[in-house]
Amino acid sequence: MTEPGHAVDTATALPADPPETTSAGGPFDVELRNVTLLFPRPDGKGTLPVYENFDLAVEPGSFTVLLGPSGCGKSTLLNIVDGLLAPAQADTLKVLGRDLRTDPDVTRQCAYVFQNARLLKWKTLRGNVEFGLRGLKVQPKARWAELMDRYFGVVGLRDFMDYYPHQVSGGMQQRAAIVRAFVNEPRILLMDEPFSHLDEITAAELRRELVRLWTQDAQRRTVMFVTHDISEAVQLGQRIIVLTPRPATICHEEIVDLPYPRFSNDERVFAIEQTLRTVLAERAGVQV
Amino acid sequence: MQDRLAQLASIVAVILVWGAMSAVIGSSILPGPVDVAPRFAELITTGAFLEPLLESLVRTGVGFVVGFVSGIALGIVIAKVRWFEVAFTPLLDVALFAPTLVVIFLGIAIIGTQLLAVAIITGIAVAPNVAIYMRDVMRDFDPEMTAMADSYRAGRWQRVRDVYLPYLVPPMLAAARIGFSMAWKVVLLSEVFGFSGGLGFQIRINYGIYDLVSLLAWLCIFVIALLLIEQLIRSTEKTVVRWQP
Repeated sequence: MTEPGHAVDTATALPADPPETTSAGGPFDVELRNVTLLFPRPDGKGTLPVYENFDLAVEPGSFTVLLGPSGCGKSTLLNIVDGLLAPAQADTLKVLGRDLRTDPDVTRQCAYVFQNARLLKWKTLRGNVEFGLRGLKVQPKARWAELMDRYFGVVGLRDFMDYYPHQVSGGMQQRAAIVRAFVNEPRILLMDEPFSHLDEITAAELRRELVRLWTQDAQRRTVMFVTHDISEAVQLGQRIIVLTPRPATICHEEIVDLPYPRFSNDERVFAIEQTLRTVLAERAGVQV
Repeated sequence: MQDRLAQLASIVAVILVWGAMSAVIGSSILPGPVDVAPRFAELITTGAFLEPLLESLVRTGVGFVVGFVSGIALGIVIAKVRWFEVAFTPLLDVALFAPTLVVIFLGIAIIGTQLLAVAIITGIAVAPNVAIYMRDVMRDFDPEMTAMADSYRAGRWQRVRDVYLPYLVPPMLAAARIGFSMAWKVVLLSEVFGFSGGLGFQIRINYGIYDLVSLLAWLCIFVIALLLIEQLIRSTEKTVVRWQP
């Protein structure tokens, strides 16, 4: 029997279940080398380094979880990958093998699920999903109805497509936000603590739905998932990257070679959670 | 239905209070609803109310459009352009606190009793209030929505149509309500003090001859017209922003 969870040394380790297909542009869907990102200090005096000489590579079709204390720059990393933030310096800044700086349109193949659903309250759930389709110019347009029907169906919202956000629960709003991301059929899915504002029962349900959505496609999408919840990280991730406080560095990587669904009462899951707790306490200075 | 009954009850209550006050003070000083009703009915049935009302409405409409459009534009630009805010905020404060009567007198003295004077006077009265309201609304815009639109690569037109405009419509309607009621009052005052026509003029001449019954009958027409317009704006609001809880 193989060890279900094991630590690796490099930031570019292969995921536990590498897909057979790779992106056309190279072996990695996301490749960051020597990235430095500085934020101006609130008082305007100098800058605050968020990342310094940071490296990360993400395999196509993998489910990578970024785990770390609040404020360490996990969400910032997703924003860099989505082209929403430009680093001060980077040797390599590639998404799907294309340089973000010279080819920013490549991020049309990324879709983002935010911490809050961020739905437009004046649009129905269907209208919100169409907003994403229109923005990312998903073609052909004739497929939109079929795509929406399919993904709303998967998350159990087919009967609620014409409701406004205030007419449905927070969990349903977040489901709609997930549909907005998936329906574009993005190559890369960026998820920033999407379940952190939900109650535990709804969050657990949505995690199961996410895994179902992710595993249903023959060519799996690449997922980068940010969380500070260790249990969530182990339940979802094939590869867990632990970040230190700012300036963030990768202090540990864990490959989780366990089948889905994963439950906290599984001793193998529990063992990995314990490892991560120890790592966060010892290397990231966080008591969990 | 309940809302309608409540509205009706409040109007009946106002009429009752008016009647009670008239009974206490004396109908020669404050004519009551029963004294005013025949004159009011006469103005309505003979159609005598129509010309002054239309005259006031045209003045209010023109003044309101000038004040509202410039106020909306000013508010949005102030919220978005830093130097514009620095340059215009003191001017806005002055316009906001300038006594409306002084503006009316100055406007009539400088421009005369033309439609242009009403447009400028009302514009000066309405625009600062609308501008400040819209500036604050723009500042309250959730930056997370901008980030969402950035992330989904929404183009400029898509943002305007699907994000900014729907966000701005409810406050714009609220600003329209505030602006219109203000324009209505400014026009009435302008007519009282300088114009030879409109509801305000009717109020002035009736006050001049101490015909309080006619004065109050015209005032009733003014109030009813204001309530009807307010109702119209509310109905538009309900249709346009039916997504609101």
